Amino acid sequence: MSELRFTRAEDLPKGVHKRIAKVNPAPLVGTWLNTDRATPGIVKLILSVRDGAFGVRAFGACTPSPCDWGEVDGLVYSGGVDSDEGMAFTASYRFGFLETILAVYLKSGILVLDSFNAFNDDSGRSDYFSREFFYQQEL
Amino acid sequence: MMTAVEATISHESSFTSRNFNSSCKHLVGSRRRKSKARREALKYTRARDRSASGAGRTRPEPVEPSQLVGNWVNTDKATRGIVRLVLTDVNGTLMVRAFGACDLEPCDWGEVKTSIYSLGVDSERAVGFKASYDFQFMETMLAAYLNKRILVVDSYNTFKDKSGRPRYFLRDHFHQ
Repeated sequence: MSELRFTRAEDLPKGVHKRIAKVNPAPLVGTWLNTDRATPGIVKLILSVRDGAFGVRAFGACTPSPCDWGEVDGLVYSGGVDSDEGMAFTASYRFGFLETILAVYLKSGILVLDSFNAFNDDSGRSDYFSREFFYQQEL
Repeated sequence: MMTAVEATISHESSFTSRNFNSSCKHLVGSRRRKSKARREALKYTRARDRSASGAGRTRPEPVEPSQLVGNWVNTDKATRGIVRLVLTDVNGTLMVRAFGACDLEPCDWGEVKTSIYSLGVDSERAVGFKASYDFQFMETMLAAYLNKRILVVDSYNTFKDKSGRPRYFLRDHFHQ
């Protein structure tokens, strides 16, 4: 274990080091709805696994129907170096005029989504942060 | 008639997501009032992207980072994560210097630039930042925001060595 490089204690296994090939995204997979039905942000997320890749499809609050952002690849994270259970992900959308980074984690059955939004146009809009909460849609 | 600015900001551009629904990129109607027209000319992905006052702030200034500047100490003195952050304003750029929990003394991660974010498109005060560290053997993205004077810092960690350690997420809270 001593040969493992680290930036903080959390980077090191707490017990015997077991190699983990891949984080399991299963706890994240499904359709997630915003807890705020009147949100001006993201109304729905569809998280899926296709051909081994984790996919993120977000829908923004638009009128008369949600804006489908399309599907992008996401990176799945566990809760620590000893765990292979997925509990967080990141994904990046590049819309041309706007770049949105989604940084998302699962807590007590609620998906907590932070979005970091940076405009590339000359519209004068400030780059902004938002936080939203999602529950899993029953099948 | 659409102004040059409106035409510039409302023109189509490419999207890298696989199937963005183009029907949501609403454009201006020529008979609408000018302020409403400018607002609608702005491209958006959700209602929150749209400015309440029209096409962004009338005198756009850079987002101002003073609320984030300072020395931030982890609320958990026994943390195994980040023990301390130093945030400084260098000519309008917010810099972060993080210190990890290591034996004897904290590991100094060095200083990197951040990107800062306000609470909305019409706001000028930064409430969050994002930064990336590349340690060669691993990469760490810090995604942080201010909540009632507590700085909440999420780290998304990816190992690049062949140690068999998985990507992991970690959350730390800091007070000033």
